[in-house]
Amino acid sequence: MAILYFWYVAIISRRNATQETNSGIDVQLKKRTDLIPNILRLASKFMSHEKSLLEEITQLRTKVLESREVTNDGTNDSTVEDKFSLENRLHEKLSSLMVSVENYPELKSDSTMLEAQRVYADVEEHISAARRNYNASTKSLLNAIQIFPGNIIASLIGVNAPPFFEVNEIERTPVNADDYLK
Amino acid sequence: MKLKGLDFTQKSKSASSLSPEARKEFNRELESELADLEAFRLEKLEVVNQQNELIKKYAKSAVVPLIVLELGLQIFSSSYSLLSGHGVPFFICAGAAIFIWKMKPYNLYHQQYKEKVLPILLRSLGDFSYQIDGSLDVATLESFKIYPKHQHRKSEDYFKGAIQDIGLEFCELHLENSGDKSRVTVFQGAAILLEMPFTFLTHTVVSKNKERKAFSNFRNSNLQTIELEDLDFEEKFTARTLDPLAARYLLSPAMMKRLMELEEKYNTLGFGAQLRCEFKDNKALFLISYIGNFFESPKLTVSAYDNDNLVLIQDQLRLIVSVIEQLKLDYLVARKLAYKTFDLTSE
Repeated sequence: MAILYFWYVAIISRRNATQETNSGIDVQLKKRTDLIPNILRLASKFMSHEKSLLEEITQLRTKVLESREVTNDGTNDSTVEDKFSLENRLHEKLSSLMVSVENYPELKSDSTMLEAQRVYADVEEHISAARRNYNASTKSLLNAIQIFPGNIIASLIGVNAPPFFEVNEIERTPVNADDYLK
Repeated sequence: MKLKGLDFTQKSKSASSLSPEARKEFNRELESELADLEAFRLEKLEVVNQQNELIKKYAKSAVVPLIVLELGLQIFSSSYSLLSGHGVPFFICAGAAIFIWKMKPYNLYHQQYKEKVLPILLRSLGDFSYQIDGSLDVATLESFKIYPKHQHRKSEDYFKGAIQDIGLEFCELHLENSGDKSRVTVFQGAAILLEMPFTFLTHTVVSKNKERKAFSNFRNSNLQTIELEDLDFEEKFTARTLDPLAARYLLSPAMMKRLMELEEKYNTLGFGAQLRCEFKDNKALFLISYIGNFFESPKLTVSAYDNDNLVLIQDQLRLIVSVIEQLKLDYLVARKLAYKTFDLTSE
């Protein structure tokens, strides 16, 4: 009985830790969405031909902010997956923007834009760390609820592990250098 | 004599760049010092030759009386002998005195070589000051978990400077404990202390797996072990931290690879390197143990102008100073400092 009790405690602790790490991702993602208006304001001064990209980023940012208002306790897999999907798309568009900056020498050499790129790079590193932390926490919870007798205890109390954070399919495909070196 | 092999052009990106005039000046300064060193070397070589002559001259004349004395002791008093407990301390003291006297010219030349050559080679890499027998501040070292417990400490070849807002201090350390019959080496190698212009988010320690007891200062600490994703890194190292999230920010997959490459770079110099590092407050300490000694002078019988030795020393200095570039800590500094000029919250 003592073993079962300690296993139960371990499952609950790890579930709570996973929720905490999930919130940790949100904290970092918020920093990124807070950064976006400043970057867009700088970019719009110079990037007259990227209007559609800038608008797309603005719209995605709005959707991301709206998705955060949906209650998410970490056990609703589809909500968590939707959030990941939106954030991934936003990350793709921001990355495209950063690459497009290279085509605008004036913007590229602007010191404020350089600092903004560095801050953006740092925020992305924080997001990456938060996701890795979340995955480590999820793995720990999965181990606890899949190994006997954890699987029985977890099914009795209704604890499921949320999905791992995974990159989307576009980021998995290898880069074709020919597309760029034309 | 021309100095070949020394390359003042291929410096690390983070070191100050040298103009052609500065390179000429360094070559001129180094040649002048080497000329003095060569004269000093020849003087010490002459002393060694004189020592050898003296030993040849008096060894023969000392051996016969000693044999006669021993035979006399054996004949007239069997309880006394030069080879027993009575004579051994005498021979040990005599042997030690002769050894010290014999090594003196070599040690003087070695010391002179380092004091002349290292400051010049260091200046080519940045604004560094050198002390042959200096050391990192002991109190600072003792505040790090990876600094092993020891009873005896020797240090040498201390230098201090800065590269792109990051302070760098280095010394070679030899830490020992007293064993049953002799001293046991706990750590021998390089200690590199970096002072960053920002504070690390958390206290993180990277130590070797199955760490020896001397390095296991983690009991009674709040540091928790974290599992990282790089399997090669996990095979070699154990990461401990107060905050897993902040530690993962610092120990990104790229950083883990760079740490392994840094350890491997020390191995390529043939020294069997083992890396340990710790990040705390605004400081990072790297302890790299290896077999051997950095910054060796050439033998007394080899010219002070020996290019191979100069190039080796320059490579060793570059390896140490390039730790910042190798780990891309300058990029980390740039990102951290960018927050000061780019306000994240302004709309």
